[in-house]
Amino acid sequence: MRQVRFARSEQVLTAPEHFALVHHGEEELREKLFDFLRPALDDPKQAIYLCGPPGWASRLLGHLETSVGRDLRPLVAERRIILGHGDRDVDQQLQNLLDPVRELCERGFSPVRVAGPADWDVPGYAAPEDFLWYESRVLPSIEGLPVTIMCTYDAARLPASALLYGAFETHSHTLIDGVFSESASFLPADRYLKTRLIHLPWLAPDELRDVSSTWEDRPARGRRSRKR
Amino acid sequence: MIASSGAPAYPVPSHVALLHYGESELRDAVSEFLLAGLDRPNEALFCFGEPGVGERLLRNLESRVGRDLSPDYRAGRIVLGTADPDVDRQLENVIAPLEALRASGFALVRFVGIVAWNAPDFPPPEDFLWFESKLNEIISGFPVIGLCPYDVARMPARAIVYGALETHPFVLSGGTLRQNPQFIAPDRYLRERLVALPWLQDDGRAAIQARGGRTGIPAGSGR
Repeated sequence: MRQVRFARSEQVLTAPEHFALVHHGEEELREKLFDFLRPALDDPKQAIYLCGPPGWASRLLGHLETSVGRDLRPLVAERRIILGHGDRDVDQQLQNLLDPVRELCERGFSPVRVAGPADWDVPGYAAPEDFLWYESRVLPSIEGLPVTIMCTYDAARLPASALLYGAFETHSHTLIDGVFSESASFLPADRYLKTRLIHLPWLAPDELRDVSSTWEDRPARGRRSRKR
Repeated sequence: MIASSGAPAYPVPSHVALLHYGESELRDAVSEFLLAGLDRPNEALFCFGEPGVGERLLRNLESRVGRDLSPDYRAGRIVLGTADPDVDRQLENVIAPLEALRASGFALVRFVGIVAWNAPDFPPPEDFLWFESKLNEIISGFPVIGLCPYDVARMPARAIVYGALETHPFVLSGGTLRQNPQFIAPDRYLRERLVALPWLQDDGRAAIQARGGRTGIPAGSGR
């Protein structure tokens, strides 16, 4: 068990941990990213993995550089900060997370801090139901590792279903307005897969689905295949 | 108190956010909630929402029980209330019937208030959040279970975060009633959260920029 401290707030987490930061807009994201990642920059025993939809890791790095006021590319060059990315195939996306995280742990870094924004129904990224599968698999996949993962959910941009089914049901804890709390809606991975994922309302057959749902406005899309 | 199977065991009084996806789930959850009171003569039902919503809930209930409920409506055991863009008036539209039902001796009032967001006949979002938080103080004096349905398929995420989760001590989702750790007590919510709602800050910044960078009174309800 490894304690994980924040830069400004007095939160102390215990790794492994997978929590959802619910924020409003990019400015709050930048602040909370700094709060979470700054201690790793000051401690050579800690490392960072940044991920998210394509392009987001560099963007997060840019936010961090702006906040600390220095060039972090030397840390990227020595792979103490690794920039990764998600994938439209969620098996690959999970692998893209686990490979660098395990590499950093094997090199002795502790804790490893991970940050990545969630996205929803965007081209080039996992379909929502696949993304939820990925989110539910994260915590069991880092069991025993000194890893803390902060998934960021932008309440100004994402639909409510992303927050309910993603942020609150697949993360054991949430960080909202600086307050870290348990998520009452959290479903452990095995239960999530057995009881929730197969009953996601937008996957219901058309005759059972509410015709006024906002999903009706979106282009038809079948469930994507997975290798599992 | 926390139940995961059968009908949830609601504390009294309580203020519960129902998170549902679409009309069909709403109909089922609300009917179950109201039907439990319909069979108990010492309980009253109070349906509230935008104009026409109370009537729609009553019709749904009638079709579920297969009988005309207008005698209960005329007798004052079923009350239909209407939202108002003026949030003070909306609060009064809730309090007055609750007082009347209490005076009539009902042991329990089952209140359903269908939530709207940024809708013309409803208070603006920040006013509505004030109302939701305030409701916790109001209902503490009444034998009432207040159920506020939030439609995840229609609402923006901010309605769920700042409304459903931060102003309700209990959340009902997927048939399970849970205590809500994200709930913020009314005094703190009104003092700290409501005045710092992020979109009001954004509006304030935009207004300042529009005025050429001069500072002034930020947008907001001022409550």
